[in-house]
Amino acid sequence: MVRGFYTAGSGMLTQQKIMNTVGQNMTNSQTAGYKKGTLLTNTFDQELLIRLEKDNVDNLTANNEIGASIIRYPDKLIADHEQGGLDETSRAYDMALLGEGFFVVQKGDKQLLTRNGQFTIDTETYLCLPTGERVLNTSGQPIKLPNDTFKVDVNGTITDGRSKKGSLMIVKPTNYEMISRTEEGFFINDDVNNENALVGVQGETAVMQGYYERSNVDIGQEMTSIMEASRAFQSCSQTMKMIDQITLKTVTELGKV
Amino acid sequence: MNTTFRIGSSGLKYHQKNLDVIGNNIANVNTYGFKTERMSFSSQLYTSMQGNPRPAQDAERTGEPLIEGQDIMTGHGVRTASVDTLFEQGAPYSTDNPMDYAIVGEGMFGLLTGSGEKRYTRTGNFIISMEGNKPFLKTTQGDYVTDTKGKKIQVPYKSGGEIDFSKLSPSIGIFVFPNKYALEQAGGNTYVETIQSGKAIPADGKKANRPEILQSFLEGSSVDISRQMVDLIVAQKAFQFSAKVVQVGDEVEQIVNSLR
Repeated sequence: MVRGFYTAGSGMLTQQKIMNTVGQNMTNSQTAGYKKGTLLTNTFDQELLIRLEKDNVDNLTANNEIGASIIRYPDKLIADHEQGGLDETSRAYDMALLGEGFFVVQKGDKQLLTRNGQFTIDTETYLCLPTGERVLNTSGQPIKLPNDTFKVDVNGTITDGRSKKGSLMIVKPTNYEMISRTEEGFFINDDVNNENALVGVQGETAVMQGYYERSNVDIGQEMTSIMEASRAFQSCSQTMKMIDQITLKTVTELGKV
Repeated sequence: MNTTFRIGSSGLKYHQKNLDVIGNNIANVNTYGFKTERMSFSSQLYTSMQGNPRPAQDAERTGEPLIEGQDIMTGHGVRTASVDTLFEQGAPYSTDNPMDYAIVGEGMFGLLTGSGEKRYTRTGNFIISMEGNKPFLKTTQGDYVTDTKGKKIQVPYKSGGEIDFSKLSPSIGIFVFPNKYALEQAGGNTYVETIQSGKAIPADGKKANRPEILQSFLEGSSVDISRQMVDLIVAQKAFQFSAKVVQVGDEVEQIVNSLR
């Protein structure tokens, strides 16, 4: 009986976390360069199984070895890196990527990846995001762009009249599972020991000046997901109520003297 | 639980602000010299969901190196990153008023307010205002129009009492900026320069060319009404969906409170 509480409880907690993730997607349907997140869940008995018998998973079945205690918990938050639609603004500092890859920005001593190209300049005329992170060129340095007459070609090379201002650093990860979201909503490369974790895009990706990339959130899908999660939450809570009733009976009526 | 509310309410707050920006654009569809604005969003701070302590424990068991950052992060909604002005050329409209001027190309008229502040504008419907017995060129809001050196313009008259436009028109100062996108709105269709915009450069042919100035024309609003209507509908939907998120958060709270 007590086990039932944990099962239903874990279901409720996990569905709430799913609702948070879906809610985050829904409110960010207008954020430039936003990539929607999906929360994958797993059940504990499967998890325990994998940890105990890493190499022998096929030979064991959950119920025989572990028992029927099933706890569901959030396992992974994966980002969908599908291309968002491009919107024209004809603003010189707006940029979008058509194809795979990320802009690289600097925050403190960390290099972060982003698809948000709605750039501006800071008080020292360095190209940066409105939240202050400076955009880096192929040498890993910030770029000074005090004049709005500059042009960026499809390879990311910046020219202002006849003077060259460098090229934007555009990179993509060799393994998308090795980048994760940071606190500020950017992506960061986790595989710091691997030199080839981030590679250039070599002509496969175009940089479009005067455009920004729309969020790739599909509102219809997110609405369905949040309704699903809400109902699942309700079902788990009903289950919990029933288990509560049964336990009550056990405690108060059985074995009454 | 609280997180769902916060996410939804951040959506409500900032999409409402977006509606304000778009509404302002639509209201100014007939304002001469008006430049469309847009709001850019950014997602809010992410915190760890702490749903899975696995990475650290896995690393202990297997002896493999711990990969940082594989924690599950949940965002806290959306916020405004900036409100940007899109400087698109508006179509010039012909008026029969020789005191109306429109700029075709880059540049702005320079203004001096009564308190001595420098402002800039694209709206060129000027008037003559007498001070003592001297006629000065001013805007309808009372700011002085300046020449390329930043001084007030005294309107020159011909011997017959008519305004000498051949001397007046070239004396009106036009200024360009290194980065016009960073100009700050100062109200009344005027802008002030900022550090990011760079200092105003007089377009007198030396550092910058004087753009084409049309007399008896006014530059129309750069608002594209069909685009703004679409943006309005999209922003409204975004607001509605944020409201749905708050609703779901509320339902969850209700269910939890009715558990026992």
